[in-house]
Amino acid sequence: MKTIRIAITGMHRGENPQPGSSIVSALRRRWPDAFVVGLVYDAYESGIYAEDGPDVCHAMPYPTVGMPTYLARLKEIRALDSFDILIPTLDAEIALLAGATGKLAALGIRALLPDEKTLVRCSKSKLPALAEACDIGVPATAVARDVSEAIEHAEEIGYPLFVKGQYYDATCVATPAVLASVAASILADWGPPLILQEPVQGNEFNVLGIGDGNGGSLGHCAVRKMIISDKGKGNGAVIVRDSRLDEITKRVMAETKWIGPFELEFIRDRRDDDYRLIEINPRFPAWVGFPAQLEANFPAAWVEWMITGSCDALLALRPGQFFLRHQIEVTGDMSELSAVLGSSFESTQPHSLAS
Amino acid sequence: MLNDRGFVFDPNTGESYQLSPTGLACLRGLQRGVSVDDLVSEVTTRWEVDTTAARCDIDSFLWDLQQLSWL
Repeated sequence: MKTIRIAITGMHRGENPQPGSSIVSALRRRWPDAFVVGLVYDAYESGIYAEDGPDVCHAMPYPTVGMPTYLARLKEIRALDSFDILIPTLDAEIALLAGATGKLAALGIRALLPDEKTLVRCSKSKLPALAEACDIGVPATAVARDVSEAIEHAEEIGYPLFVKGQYYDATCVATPAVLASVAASILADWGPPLILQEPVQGNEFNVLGIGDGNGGSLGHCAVRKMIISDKGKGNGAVIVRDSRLDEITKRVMAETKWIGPFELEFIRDRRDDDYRLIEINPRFPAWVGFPAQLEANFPAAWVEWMITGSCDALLALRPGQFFLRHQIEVTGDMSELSAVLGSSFESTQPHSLAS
Repeated sequence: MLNDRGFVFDPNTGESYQLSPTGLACLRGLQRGVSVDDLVSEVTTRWEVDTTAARCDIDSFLWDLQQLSWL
């Protein structure tokens, strides 16, 4: 296989870590000489400066600029540092690029993503309908376009409840006044809709996997969160094996014919011990580096599958193995920082940040 | 998953537990197919506890195991 040349987004590994750095590390495990282009929005994305980080980095405009500008920048970067494959790792990027695989292919970029229809069907606001089709439990959920509608729905669901943005943010609110404040803030940051969801008490479980686009999957890995940050992020998790999670995952894949990486988020409801599907994330999670260290390298399998149409079987990992998120300091020099800062997306200068 | 120090990991729930030496002896006994009466005898032989208290504690332990779906 010739040298893999791949562009990856989501390089930040701070308090709210993104998946990109873990994907880079996982790919380097399989292909040490892979050429990785980091696509970043901010010079402070810590993964830029990681020892095994991207070979080069380029600044990107936010996905809100729209498809033409986003694609134009990808084309510009590719002319500077050629890459063949793109792995977007952030929800807003995938929402923009879903259904654009043809346009990307026209630029010489391979990226397999779910189509827009499937992505919408799996979004937070449509989750109850999908769950019904898959015969999976979900918390009571309502969708609101504005604050007053949110307050109306909240009266039906009852307090406390979670209010969420379409892609990001989830806050538990206990009163209409707090709901109004949080909802207004989310609308200002992310726009409508707002998702209102009944809180479910119980342990949190996540399933990482890759859909093959034909109703099956290349493999999956289920964990229970052991340590949860105040932002709700899993800072530690242990591999579990529950045939019910396997079955639910199969049903979601079969129903959606999902293609690409995914993460299913569940809470195991204390009231009846059943799983409630909370969210479907259309990407690798930040903890994707964990199974990659245990011989289940999901990013490498996905890249291999994109290139050859097949991949080595992803092993079912032994339950009881866990990860703990371990923060370290990465170091850089102001010259590196300025190289990225000086590269607005209009720039044509590459940022060679390879160590 | 149970080790010799009494550490138990439930692969289904992801929960882990630390058994007391008595609990470990009982669970090992159950794995060997020992009857509850024989478990009570084993416990009263190895630890300073009377038969009534031992049976009460073992019944309580068995109830816990049932709640965890281990029995």
